[in-house]
Amino acid sequence: MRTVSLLLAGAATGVLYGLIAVGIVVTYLTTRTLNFAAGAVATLAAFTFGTWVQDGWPKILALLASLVLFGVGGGYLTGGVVMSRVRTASETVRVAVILGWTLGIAGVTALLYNTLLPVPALFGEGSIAVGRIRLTSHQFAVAVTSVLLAVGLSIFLRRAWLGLALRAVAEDRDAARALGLQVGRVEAFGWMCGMTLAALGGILVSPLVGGDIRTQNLLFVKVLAVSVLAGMERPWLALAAGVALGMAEAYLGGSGGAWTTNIDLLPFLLMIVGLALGPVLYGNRTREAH
Amino acid sequence: MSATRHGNGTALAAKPFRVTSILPWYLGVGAAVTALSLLTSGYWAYVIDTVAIFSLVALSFVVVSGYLGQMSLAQTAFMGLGALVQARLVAIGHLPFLMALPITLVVVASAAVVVGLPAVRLRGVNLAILSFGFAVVAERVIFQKWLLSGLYLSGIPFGRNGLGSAWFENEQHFSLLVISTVTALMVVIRALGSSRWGLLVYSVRDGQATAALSGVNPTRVKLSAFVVSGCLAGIAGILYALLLQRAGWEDYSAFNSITYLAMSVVGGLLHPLGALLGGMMYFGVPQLFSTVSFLRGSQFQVLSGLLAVAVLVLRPGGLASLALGRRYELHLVAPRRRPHRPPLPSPASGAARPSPRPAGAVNGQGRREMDALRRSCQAPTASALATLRSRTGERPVR
Amino acid sequence: MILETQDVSVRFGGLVALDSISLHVAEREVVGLIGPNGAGKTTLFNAVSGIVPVAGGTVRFEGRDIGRLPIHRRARLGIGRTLQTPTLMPAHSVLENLIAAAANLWKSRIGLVLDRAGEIADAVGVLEYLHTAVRDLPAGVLREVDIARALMTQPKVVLLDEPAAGLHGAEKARLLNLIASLPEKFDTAVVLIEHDMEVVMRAANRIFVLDFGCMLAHGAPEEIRTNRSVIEAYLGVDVETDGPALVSGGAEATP
Repeated sequence: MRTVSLLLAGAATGVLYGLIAVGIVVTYLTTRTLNFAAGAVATLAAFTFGTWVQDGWPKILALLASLVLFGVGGGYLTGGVVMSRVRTASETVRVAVILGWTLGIAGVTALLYNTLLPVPALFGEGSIAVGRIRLTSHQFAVAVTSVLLAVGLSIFLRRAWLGLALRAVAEDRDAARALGLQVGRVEAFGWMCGMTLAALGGILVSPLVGGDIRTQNLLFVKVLAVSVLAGMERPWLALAAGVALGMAEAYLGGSGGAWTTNIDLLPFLLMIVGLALGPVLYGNRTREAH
Repeated sequence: MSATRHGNGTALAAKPFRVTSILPWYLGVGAAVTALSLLTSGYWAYVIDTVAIFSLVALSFVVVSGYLGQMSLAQTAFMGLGALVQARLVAIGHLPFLMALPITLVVVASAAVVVGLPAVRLRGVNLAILSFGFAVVAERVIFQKWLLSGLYLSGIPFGRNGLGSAWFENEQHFSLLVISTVTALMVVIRALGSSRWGLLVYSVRDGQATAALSGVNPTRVKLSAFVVSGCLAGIAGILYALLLQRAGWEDYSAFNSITYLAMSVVGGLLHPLGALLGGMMYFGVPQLFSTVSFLRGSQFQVLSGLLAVAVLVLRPGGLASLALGRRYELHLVAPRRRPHRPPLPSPASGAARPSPRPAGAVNGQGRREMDALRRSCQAPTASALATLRSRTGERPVR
Repeated sequence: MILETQDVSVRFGGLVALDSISLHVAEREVVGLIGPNGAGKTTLFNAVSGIVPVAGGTVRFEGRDIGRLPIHRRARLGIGRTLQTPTLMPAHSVLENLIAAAANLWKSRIGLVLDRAGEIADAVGVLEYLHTAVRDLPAGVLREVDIARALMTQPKVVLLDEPAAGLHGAEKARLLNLIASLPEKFDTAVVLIEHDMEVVMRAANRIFVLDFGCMLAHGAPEEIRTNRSVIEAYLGVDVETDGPALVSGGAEATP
């Protein structure tokens, strides 16, 4: 049935949103900061990966090097050097800092790379049939990886000691310290995790989407909408929400009429819904400002 | 404000704020800039106009992020709305400029309310997300699909004679218009900052709960600040379209909001002078280096982003606070908020009942530690803190 | 009765923070509200102010049910409130903070507002700090300024949340005098949350005791002082000596 193919294709796209959203949600859970810089880091990592592969590096090596450089290095730089200095500042200042940081990273990307650089697909160019649609092996592998990551991270953050420590430090720094946790290090580690996920997301997703800044902005808004819908709570929920958005977009976009031209309204509307219902669905975790 | 008497007859001398006291400064700067633009021409007039227009954009950030303390990334949406609606009404609909202007401002104000209403309930970062989402929707749907359709996909030509007379076709006359508009608006915003309205806005910024408990309606205050800010951006958008002589959507792209925010931050969010300094730094200074291409594009982006971060970390009040002093320092330390936790019954197990409070524990540090200890014990069961605690069974370690 | 709560209950998720609390405050009375940390005292203030929603029962001000009114409307009706940690505008002067707090004088001439600010500042005792920036104020003065702020809207009842925390000696005496003077000088009732027994016993006409979200006892100070269950649950030590104040249940304080 055409609808099923449409929905499947939408789901394949939605998985991409979900993957980046997982990174955003994890970063939020471990640092209580919305990582606006995720998109910029993702792009930078993707282009670096692409350049290195073009230079002849084996893909795995390029991947690992990118993840270490931007994930670990970038995470430490962001969390340990920049964000730690504004820990006591008001929320507006902290958001402004991360926005400025995003600008800087985006600038570095533009400085170093031609933005039309094609990023090679990590998992190759073969294709697999799923139902009535054909997916490239890369698309398929990305979907599988996303599910594994989302589920794995959800479990990690709820069960494993390190995952709990990460969340505890983000929930209440002083109380976590009172429990004996090394808050500074744990927090830095949280940023490293978040940025590594962003870099990985970029490398996996870039071959499948356009590279120009406007498409990326729109993508980022969709990712934000998905994160918000998931309540910034559970990685697996973020992935599910992403898939749902992808399917909704495919279905409504293909239906003709008003929705087709104005399909870009959808993420924004969902964002409003998510922000409005968030406190209701996920509990009033944070009271209004002051 | 004026001196006043009270109770036992002692005069209460308050520092007077009169618009006349600041007018000389603003008029002086305005006049100097006008003279500059009259003496130069062509390229430099264009630069001065750009600086003025983007100072106005920075001014809109001063109101919403400086005075009100909220993070709104929707300024490009308001700019674009102003430009495109006015262009449609004047260039296509053939309405007189001054008649179309109020209509445009109403549209912009309504959009500002749409963005501002959630601001009442949302924490800072959520508002940033929402406003950015709005900016992207504006760029991709409102501008490209609704306002610029059919013949005008690539923009609406917006000649200066749309202003109502051919007088403005002259570069320098147009400059005069831009400079005087921006100067006037800066005076207005400066006056508002010291007015009672300004005090209400600051009070909502610095402590919304306290303000509400004092009878201030936070919704109304926030919306009014958003509307003012949005209209400033809208006017800037109109002027920009007139400068470029066309109204397209590319000039009002959502990502630019971040750049304009960085500009405002570096200049200083708390005073119109900061807006001017920001505009000058970002759009004026690079032009002084004749190799214009050097500081454009990507290098400029890197620099501006990192500069904004540096400013926020080192001197959050921006350049303006260097000139104007402590008063215009951004409030760096957020008031110490207790995390909102429902009070839990104390565990019955052997907790020692009241003992005399140790003298030392009353001071800030000791109290914080004790509060932290208590919170770690009383964390809601689903939280990571509680899970960790029960897991390890650790005694709290100091 | 200026302020009355009838069987007010507050829930946070599954947790009952307040269980059917009924208290009443008459005009120009000073009422104390005491109890261990976590007993729900601030929550009760929050319910009256409108900061937390009420799950059951009614809050009445001058006989009128105010449950549906938002925070600022209740404030304008005449309920003043201070917070445990005052959040004033740090970069602005005390005078400017007071002007911002005079929401019900919004339509009046600025001169009127200034007069009122001056009167209140003088009566509270912070006149000398009128033009000082709030962030430069000593801690004790900050509390008094917060009280002055709460008085700007000419309230009929003022809710003070631990105003004496951290104060000693002369500062505490000043605060005590201020609280005692509020009913006559400012024509307002006072509800006072305090851990400092000396302050509460001296200032209050009546005292309500909360524990675990329930009303344990209420009555005149002498009755409360000698009430068995109150002593067991909270006071523990003879109140004649200074500060039998308590530590939050759960954490053990090292002596």
